[in-house]
Amino acid sequence: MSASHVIDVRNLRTHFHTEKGRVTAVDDVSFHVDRNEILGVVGESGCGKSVTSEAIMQLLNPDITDFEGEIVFGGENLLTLGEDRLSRIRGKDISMIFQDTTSSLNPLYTVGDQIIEALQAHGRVSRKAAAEAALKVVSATGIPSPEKRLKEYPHELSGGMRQRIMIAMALVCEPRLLIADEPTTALDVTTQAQILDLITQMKRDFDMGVIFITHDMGVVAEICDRVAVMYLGQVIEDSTVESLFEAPLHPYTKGLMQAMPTIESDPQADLYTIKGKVPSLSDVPKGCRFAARCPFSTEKCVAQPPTLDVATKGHKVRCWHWQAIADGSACKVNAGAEVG
Amino acid sequence: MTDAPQFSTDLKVAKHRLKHEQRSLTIKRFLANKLAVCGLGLTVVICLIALLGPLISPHEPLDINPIDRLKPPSLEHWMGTDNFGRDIYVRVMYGTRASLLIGFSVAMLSSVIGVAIGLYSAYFKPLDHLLMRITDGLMAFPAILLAISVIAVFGPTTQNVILTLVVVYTPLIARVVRSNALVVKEQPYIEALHALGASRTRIIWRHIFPNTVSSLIVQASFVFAVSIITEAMLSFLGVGIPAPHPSLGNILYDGKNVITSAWWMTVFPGAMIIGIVLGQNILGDGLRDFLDPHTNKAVSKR
Repeated sequence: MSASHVIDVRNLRTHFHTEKGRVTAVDDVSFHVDRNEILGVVGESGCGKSVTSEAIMQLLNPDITDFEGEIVFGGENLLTLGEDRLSRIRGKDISMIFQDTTSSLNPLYTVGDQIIEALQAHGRVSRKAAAEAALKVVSATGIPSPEKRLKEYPHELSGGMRQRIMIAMALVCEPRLLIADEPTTALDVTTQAQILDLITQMKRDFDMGVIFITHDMGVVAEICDRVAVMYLGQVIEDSTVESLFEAPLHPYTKGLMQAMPTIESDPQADLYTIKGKVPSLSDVPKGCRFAARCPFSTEKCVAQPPTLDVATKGHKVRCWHWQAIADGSACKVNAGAEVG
Repeated sequence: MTDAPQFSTDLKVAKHRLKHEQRSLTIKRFLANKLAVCGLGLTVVICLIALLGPLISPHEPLDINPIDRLKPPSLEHWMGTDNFGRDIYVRVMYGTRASLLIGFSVAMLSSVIGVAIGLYSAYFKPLDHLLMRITDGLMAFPAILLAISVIAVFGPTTQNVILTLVVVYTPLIARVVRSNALVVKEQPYIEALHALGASRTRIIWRHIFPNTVSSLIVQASFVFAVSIITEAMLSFLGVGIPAPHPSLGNILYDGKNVITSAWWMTVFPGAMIIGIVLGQNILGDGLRDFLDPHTNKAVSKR
């Protein structure tokens, strides 16, 4: 079963050793991505989206990080591999693109040199062959006059062009998995749409899996096939994109959807907000992590952590009362409560 | 569509002109930097003098002529003669050559070693603790004392002087390179390189190293100047370049006993040392302003 997945993350836990003690930034996260599929990972800042992606790439400082669980990629558990094997997988089989395009390219080299270098880091390729491959992949990203652009330095390009270069750099070795860590957050809306189209098209052309990290529900609806919603280090809802937008089951996801202004919203009305604030990672609640902010929370929620259960086919949710909430029988006991 | 090729050649010409303009701007900016220009000029003049100076004098640095001893400057001996009747002018020229050779070798060697130490200790944490403690130890130890003991054990030859000075001044370079590398290492594009699977060697030498070059050049020029002073001190103390061979330090030492009667034996080599070191220091300051406009705090000279 799992052999068909590009990547299979099973019960991943990531602990950091900090001055305040051991902090679990990612707690029991499981998901998988198939070929030609985009998995959206959604959640607010600090919910563990980026840590999860850095755990897959093994980019976290090993001195202060502990891992539990498995990240299975191509039959190997990435958590147990040595640095040599990892650096052969990184960039070749798994690539990553970052949010901040300004500082993610070395200002001292032309972008062409940097793409060529990405190729040469994996196997002996002649400079000429590498330059041709670079030109091909940059042309594929739709940059006008690519030959000229390759000879330019990062500061000579616009943000959208730099992001295209980053994508070209990530795809030049034809990876099986692409991790995109908020690749469109720093771009304006029109460029954003172009980059999203580009990623979708590349996914199809290269038949690869994509993990798309974002906090923008609109982007998720636009390009993702499946979505994992994260809250405070846990996946609280994992579903196909249709099922999620049709009927979000977890109260947090519902809140996120309501907080999103739509074209029909009354411009005079206040935007919906989820009350309270995210608890600190060093002081995680015993029961459901969302209980203090949840309008439906009961004693059971506070006392016992819920498990990620299958609600309908292809739709999992981590909530004790999803059934009751869905059919409207749950009452808002805790409405308006702001528990600190 | 018809004027598209025309448009692109126009663009090319404009771009070419822009590149050209940028280059001439850079040169202008360097020339506007009076410190750098003066320092470079002084250094170049001294190098030329040291290279060409001995050619226009008939004397040899080791020719002893007891009849002409301690003669003041004259047409025959432009800077006078010393207590053995040797021509001071030629000896100062050869001494300057020796000083420049030592300064250059020390600057180059300690740069190479210092860069390696600095980069690797910035990149590998455990290595950092070890190497930086050794570096601290070397910095705390008086340079002259270390030099004297090394030369007392291994004998006073030019190589030993160079090696000692390299040991003493490598920490200066290593520290500057390390502190620069620590900043660059945390840049997102280094993390992006990790994510691309670039090897550590590639990251360290191709991506971190070029970012440390500008401050390395500045620091190396100070090491150049400081090692010339130290070499003169060592020679003055008799543990530098061995006796009959001229060096600015041992000419000064010979002149010390007769300073009241033969001022020329002290003034000319002394002026030469001042000239070289001043030139290097000014050049270093100027280069710092030129290469790194963000810092206006002087790099510690010792």
